[in-house]
Amino acid sequence: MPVDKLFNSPQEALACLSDGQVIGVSGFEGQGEPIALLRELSKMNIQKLTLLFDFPTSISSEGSSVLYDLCLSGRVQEVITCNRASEYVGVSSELVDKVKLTFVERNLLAEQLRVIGAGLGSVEFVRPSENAMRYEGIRLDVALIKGFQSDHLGNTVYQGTSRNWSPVMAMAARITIAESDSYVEPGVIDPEGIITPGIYINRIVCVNS
Amino acid sequence: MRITQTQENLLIKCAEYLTPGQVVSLGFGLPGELPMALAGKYPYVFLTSSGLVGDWENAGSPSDFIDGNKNHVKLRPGSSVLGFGERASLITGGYVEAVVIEPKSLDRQGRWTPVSSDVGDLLSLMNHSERLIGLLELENQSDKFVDSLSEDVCSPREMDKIITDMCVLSVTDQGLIVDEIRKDYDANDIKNKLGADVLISESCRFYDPLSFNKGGNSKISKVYKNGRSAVSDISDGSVVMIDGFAGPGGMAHYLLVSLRDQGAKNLTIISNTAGIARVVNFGTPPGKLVIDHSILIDNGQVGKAIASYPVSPSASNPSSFELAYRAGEVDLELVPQGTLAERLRAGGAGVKCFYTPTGAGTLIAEGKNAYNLDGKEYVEESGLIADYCIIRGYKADRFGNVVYKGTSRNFNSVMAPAAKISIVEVDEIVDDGALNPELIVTPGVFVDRIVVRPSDFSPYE
Repeated sequence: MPVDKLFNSPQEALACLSDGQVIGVSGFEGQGEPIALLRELSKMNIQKLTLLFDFPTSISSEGSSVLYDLCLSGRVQEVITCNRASEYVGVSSELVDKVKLTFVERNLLAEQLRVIGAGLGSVEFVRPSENAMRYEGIRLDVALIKGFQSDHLGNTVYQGTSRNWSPVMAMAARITIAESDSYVEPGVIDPEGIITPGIYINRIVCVNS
Repeated sequence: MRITQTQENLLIKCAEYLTPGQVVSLGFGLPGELPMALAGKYPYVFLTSSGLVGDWENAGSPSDFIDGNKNHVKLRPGSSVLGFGERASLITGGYVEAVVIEPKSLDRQGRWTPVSSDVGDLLSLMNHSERLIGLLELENQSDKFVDSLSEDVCSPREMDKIITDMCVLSVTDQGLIVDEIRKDYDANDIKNKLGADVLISESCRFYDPLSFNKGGNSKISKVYKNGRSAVSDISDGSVVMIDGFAGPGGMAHYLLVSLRDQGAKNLTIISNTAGIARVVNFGTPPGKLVIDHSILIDNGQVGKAIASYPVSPSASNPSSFELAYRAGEVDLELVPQGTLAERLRAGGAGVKCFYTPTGAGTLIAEGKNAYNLDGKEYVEESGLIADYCIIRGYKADRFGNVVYKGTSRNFNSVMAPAAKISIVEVDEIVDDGALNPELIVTPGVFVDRIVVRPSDFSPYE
């Protein structure tokens, strides 16, 4: 039976989400956010989530405001991010009361995700930093990423700097759900130009068919 | 972001402290406008928090590429885009030379605090870069300069230079010292802003901000005229990474011949095989032998190999390495192939060691630290770096950006960041901008020398 990872709607694609999961969401300063998936996530009644995303310096994009509201709604118990989110202007003190904010430096966080994608346990860097020397991988149960074009096998490419977290989160998650701008037939994307091979992606939703 | 003439002059002054061709990481705010102020006239390689590497200008309309200041930009030829995983590896691998930051505040002792947008990357950039440069406008933003900041909110690393609109400062044990003063100001103006006890260097000189013209017309080109010149400085005892798999593809045959002719001895070669293409004969015309690592071994140049597949698949048809090993002429460190790829990747990314389940509880794990995580056994393996790598690409531009052809990619791309000097052999050099920035597999940052394989060169002898 041929592999077909295409789902008809965000609702169907996100049906595998459940309480207590660690969910990574791609995006950086408003670029590369899987907005349709986030809109659907905000409607779902799942609890005790840990979200991992790059908290933007201002809550101005649609994706970031959906994530922010989700955090305030009580369904999220922890946010792992690479910014000192609680110190931002416009971030209410309610956020600190409702959610445990864990700060991990961005490049270290990227490496901890990649380590899981590469099947390793942990890493130690050449130069020491303020925290413990050995860093263990951070495994995501689910990654919600934003692609530009995907085929039904899951091969995905990205658009410009929207790429940001998507490739490494796709490697680190048990289930990767990609929201792509468009669907293409297998073979349209040059094999040498595939940035995320389909093996890393489990479900695809195309927003502009 | 719109900048004033004063800010532009400040940025041009800052460029004097940057090295053309080296990577400059741009912090949020004024540093992010360096590419715009320098207008492509100087061959710097900028790095943003958003994943851009290279040089760019304002796009003037919505673009797929955004810099750290959320400017929409149009990339200049030679630039590429990185995902955050690759960007992290570039930073921790030690490829950022200078970091330019606009601090939130600075005190008399030279202590400083970062703006919130810069906090996310700060630790890695502080730990893995050579030089930290701060930018501060003293005239318009004098509130940023304070008497004293408390130690616990400050960055652990001091700035090496602070460029202001009035002067250039260094940080010493006694506090700030003025190295240069801009022509329209004098020492008293500086003391009025920074306090009477600010030190003025004995060699302090005046500068005219627009007189700078460093490398103004020089174009970066990493192309060497032939293989021999590209390998000429490889000395005896060097560690050299060489690519290749079981067939003729993906090997830098022309550079291998150049290295053989150059004659450097007692090399340690790090490679997937230690030369088996020559005995496998895959795709080789009858009566010929394909060039591989064996030509170095036959020439007595190899002292040790670190490899994953060092012997011929057929016991009755041994490879040169195998014969030399049995004769006690070369050493071998055997590494499983996946572990080898990961050790190379780790070396290029500044990872000292990592923990892999491969080989746990077997001969491979002997003598290595073991580590147990959640009931699973891991073996400690170390990152590998080399003095040189000689690798095979398909096309490159003069900046060193490389793309590959098919399965010839194999270990080539992962070796480039792991070697101090990366030498690439390609079929052709393409024009500026011919390589799609999104499809560049090895960014030029990791490549030092490029050689075009002569069209009449044959990989068979």
